[in-house]
Amino acid sequence: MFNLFLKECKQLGKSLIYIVFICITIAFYTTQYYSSIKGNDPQYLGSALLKPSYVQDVEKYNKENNMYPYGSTSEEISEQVMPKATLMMYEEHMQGTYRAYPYGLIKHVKLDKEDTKKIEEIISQTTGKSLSELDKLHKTGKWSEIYFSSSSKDYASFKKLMEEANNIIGEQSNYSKENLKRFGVRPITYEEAMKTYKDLIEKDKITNGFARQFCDYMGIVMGLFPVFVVISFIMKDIKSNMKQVIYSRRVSSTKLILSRYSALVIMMMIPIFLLAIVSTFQAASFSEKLNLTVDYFAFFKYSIGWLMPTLMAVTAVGMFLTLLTETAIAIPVQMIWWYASITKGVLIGSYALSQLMIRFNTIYDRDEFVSNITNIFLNRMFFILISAIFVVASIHILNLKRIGRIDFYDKYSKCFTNFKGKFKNSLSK
Amino acid sequence: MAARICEQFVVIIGVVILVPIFTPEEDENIKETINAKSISPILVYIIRILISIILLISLIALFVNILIYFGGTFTSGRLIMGTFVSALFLGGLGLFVATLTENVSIGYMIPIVYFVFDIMTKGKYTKNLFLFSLMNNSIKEKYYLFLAAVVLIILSLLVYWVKNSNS
Repeated sequence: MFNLFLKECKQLGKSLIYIVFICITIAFYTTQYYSSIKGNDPQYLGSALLKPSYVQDVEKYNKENNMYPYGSTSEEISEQVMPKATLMMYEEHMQGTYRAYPYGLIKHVKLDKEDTKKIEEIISQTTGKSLSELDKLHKTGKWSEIYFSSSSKDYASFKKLMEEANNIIGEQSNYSKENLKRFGVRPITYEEAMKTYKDLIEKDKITNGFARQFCDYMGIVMGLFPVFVVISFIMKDIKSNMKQVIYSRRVSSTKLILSRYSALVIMMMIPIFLLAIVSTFQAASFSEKLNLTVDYFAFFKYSIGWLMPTLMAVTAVGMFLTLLTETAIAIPVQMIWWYASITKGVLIGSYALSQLMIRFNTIYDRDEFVSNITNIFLNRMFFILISAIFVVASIHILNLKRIGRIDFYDKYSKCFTNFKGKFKNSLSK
Repeated sequence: MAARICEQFVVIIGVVILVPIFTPEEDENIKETINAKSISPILVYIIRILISIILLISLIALFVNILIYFGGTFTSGRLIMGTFVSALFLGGLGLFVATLTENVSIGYMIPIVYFVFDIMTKGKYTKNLFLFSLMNNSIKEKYYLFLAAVVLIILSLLVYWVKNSNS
């Protein structure tokens, strides 16, 4: 069986589509990952590998340089959230359209008279003034004089009102629980910056953090493009009318399918491994300048554990569909699957079992990774399981075809009034 | 906003409709039968391309009108034309690659790669041939895309003619 495997690998390596696949992988890598990591060369000020310098007074720095030294983050600070959210609600009410963000798209919602009245009530309740008074204040620019009591009890009732407003507008408006905290901004402290730095340098040994972002970008490639290679490879057999020759050989279906499948998976992992080597070199060259150590195996560990299950699942499903239907139907199926995974997920933080690709678009956030590691593990195991199921199904289908139990064109040629289908049938008789 | 839905979902139709124009003749047996006939295959292809273009515009117009029916508010003419041009470009690109390599899978793959690439890099590398310029309210790219689409389709026909006259 090993000989068969090698032959399949050679055949695949010579095919044009495989070379195109490698070029695409390299192109994505260069434009997405390599260019964004380049900025971490220690000679650049913004490099993640440089230790954050101590700044005594963060607010003073902000006043002088118009930005916080360690960046800022959003947090639910009641003193900021209440006035800003109310102002936005008032302005949206004035314009008549409310913004909502279902599935990351922006939607402009118009409310009918009844709902608009409810919003007006909410605005009056949070500010404690009537609508006409608010209009006057807004016109004369005295909006900031409205007092918002930020005690925890008042804030809790404020949040309830905001949730009501969110239910009226619907679907992730500016006032939903997740979006409310966007109104509060606070500077990142020195301690937090140091912790992020230490996590990256000491616990992640640099490459682990880089590897997660590598897998994020390459996962997008691996979720869609392998299907083209799979289809092209399997259709070659069908097109060249080799089916009858192969079916009558003594080779067992299991050997055929397994050698083909492993050839596909391993050949498509080769560009990933090569790019992992390049990335490790890049990270090592950066860290040498600062005398830091890297984990040389990080990229490979992550490639196998994070990326390979995606590739395996895509290849298995593509192979099964192509064997079953002898058409290219795996392409639109995979596109829908890929698109659903990409648009559903956020840039980081979605580890549901349905996520084909796990996103993690940052070199930091090690804590997020560590706390979710069981979810990630379950997700990856699930996709390996899916691959196994579809490989077994493919073996079964191939067996049935050899016996003659399924011939897709015969059964469904009425649906495919395709000249090719009819022609094939009369030719093979 | 509607521009985004249109451009990101609907343009793929261009690939599906335009790329398979040469596939019925992929089979050697059919190709030989056709080449023996006196009608020029190029003429047949031009007819097929015209039919596909009409089909493409109709489908896009249908989709846009469905969006309007469900309460969208936007200038439909510009949207239809813009989406059509992007879809035509993708289809033309796929058609050209498919004839060049005689491999339909690559013909499907390249436009989809271009599409995904454009979504992710947001026009940084494709500049004037950016597929989704309607989202940024810019029509300038559409002219370049249309020109490129026409060139690609003509090139595909040329490639087919050259390949055929050699064999």
